[in-house]
Amino acid sequence: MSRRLGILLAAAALLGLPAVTTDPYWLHVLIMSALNVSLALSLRVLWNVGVLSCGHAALMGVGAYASALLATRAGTNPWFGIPVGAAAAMAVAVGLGYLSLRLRGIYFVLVTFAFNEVFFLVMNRWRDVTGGPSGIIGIPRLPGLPPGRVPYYYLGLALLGLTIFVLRRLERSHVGRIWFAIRDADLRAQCVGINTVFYRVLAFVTSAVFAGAWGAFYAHYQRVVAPTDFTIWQSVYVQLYMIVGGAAVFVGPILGGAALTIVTELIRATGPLVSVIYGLLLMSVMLFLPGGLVSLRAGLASVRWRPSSKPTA
Amino acid sequence: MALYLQIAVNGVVISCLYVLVALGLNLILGIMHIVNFAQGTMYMLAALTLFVLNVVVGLNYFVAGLLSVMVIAVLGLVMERLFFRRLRGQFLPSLVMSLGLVLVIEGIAWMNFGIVAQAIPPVFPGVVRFLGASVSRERLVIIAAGLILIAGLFLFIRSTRAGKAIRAVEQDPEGAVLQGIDLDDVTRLVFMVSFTLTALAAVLVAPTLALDPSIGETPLLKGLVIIVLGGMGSVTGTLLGGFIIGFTESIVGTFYDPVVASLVSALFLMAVLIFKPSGLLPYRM
Repeated sequence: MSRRLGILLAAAALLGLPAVTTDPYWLHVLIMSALNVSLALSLRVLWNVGVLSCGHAALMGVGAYASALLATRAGTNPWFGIPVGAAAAMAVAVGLGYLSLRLRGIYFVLVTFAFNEVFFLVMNRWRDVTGGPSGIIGIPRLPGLPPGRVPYYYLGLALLGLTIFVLRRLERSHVGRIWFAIRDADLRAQCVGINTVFYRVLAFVTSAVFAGAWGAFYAHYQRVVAPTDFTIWQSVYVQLYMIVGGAAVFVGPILGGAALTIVTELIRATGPLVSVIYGLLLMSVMLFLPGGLVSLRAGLASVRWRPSSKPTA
Repeated sequence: MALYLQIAVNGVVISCLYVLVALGLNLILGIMHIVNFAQGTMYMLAALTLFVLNVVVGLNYFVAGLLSVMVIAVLGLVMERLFFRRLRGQFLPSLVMSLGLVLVIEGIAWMNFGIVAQAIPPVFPGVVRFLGASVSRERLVIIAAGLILIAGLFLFIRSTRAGKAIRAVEQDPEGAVLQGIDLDDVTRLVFMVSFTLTALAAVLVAPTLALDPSIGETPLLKGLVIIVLGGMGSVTGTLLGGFIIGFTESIVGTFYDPVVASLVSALFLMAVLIFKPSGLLPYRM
């Protein structure tokens, strides 16, 4: 009950925020938090089947470039770009997934690592289509939205809500159970008749759809996309949001994505300093807090409150 | 004719460099079962240390090179002790740890080194003319030293007691422990040898490079392609894979450009992983 109340209060606070401040800088920080939280949540879908991807930024890039190209070259309605971006990332994930998700562990990490590198190099090199290193500029705003950042803020919130809702429902559904079963005992899952490759690909495709849709949103929000937005290190940052927050539970990536994005802005870190701080965080979480930030709460709860029922997932 | 000779010499130079880095990656992979993404970072750090000692402090190239290799080897020991030992056997956490190390070290390097590429003055200036091709002395030295180092590592792994211990742990850690092999000793040794090889490669090649904190990324990528292509854990496979990738890069780099060469390598990596994940010369126990 109190948990539901907390979620409602948080949602109300986020919805009411523009009434208090419309400072474009902070709205921007919150929009980027929504983006990072969603990316981390969608990456966790794959993590739930026991697979780590180093190519999430590239999948987001596929969505961003698809939507940006459609709007700037073909001149179609930018709203159309969001489903197209999602579909493009999905198509890539179906192909890549079926080819490579027979492999797990280090092999899949390397395939996605190479995929991200290929994406980056192609976007850098194929100047005629992608604009090369300087990327695509002059991407139109989403039409029909009033000017300013506030509409994008609400759109971001809506997309975030949708992402959370769908992924949460999926995780608690029949499919979600199968994913966890594959993660915990692959062979046993096969023995009871689960097509593990299919369900791993399904997890990859699900995570790609959200990455692609958010990529398209990003393109029409920033109105410029460049290859450096989608490097392997961006993929590692998404892993970081998920792992530092705590990959084992659903709120982990939400906490990690929001906290890291906002704290980075608060301390006004840029470029190399961000990388040093993130790296140190990643290393300390691995060494001292393998469960991520959410396990801090579990640790406190065992001291101060009645131990709650078994944590989900 | 001269062009082909030039391509061949370049191919051997690049192959030697990548094989050294890939052997380092492969050693750690064999013992820890992780890909150490920080290998390229160590390469970069060795080259930058050499630059600082050689150009800024003004030490002789050989002294500076020796010192920088020693620094990296000690760093390997420290990292193993502080970060990797307690994660041994945990595949994803160790992998994530190595990514964290890359972020920290490269970030620090960018903050201190700046974005202007630097150069180390050539150590063996001049060119050798041969069959109409002109090959710089520098490159010949790299080839000779690289081949000696590779042969040395082969002998070490094949014939010495320590090398046998490493292979034993690779094949069956429990069995090795039962034979009285100290797992911690072997892991320490592997990190030290692996980092030393990478640092030596960097010190050899540094005078021919424009140095900045991003130079480690290419050897890392190529090293990954090579160990996958050759077969993870297989030392002979690494050698074969290294020469295939080195020559591919030399040829593609000459006729197109280095970006296309990197692209080809990354595609190669994906293709091998997808169609033949065991590599060309699968490692057999």
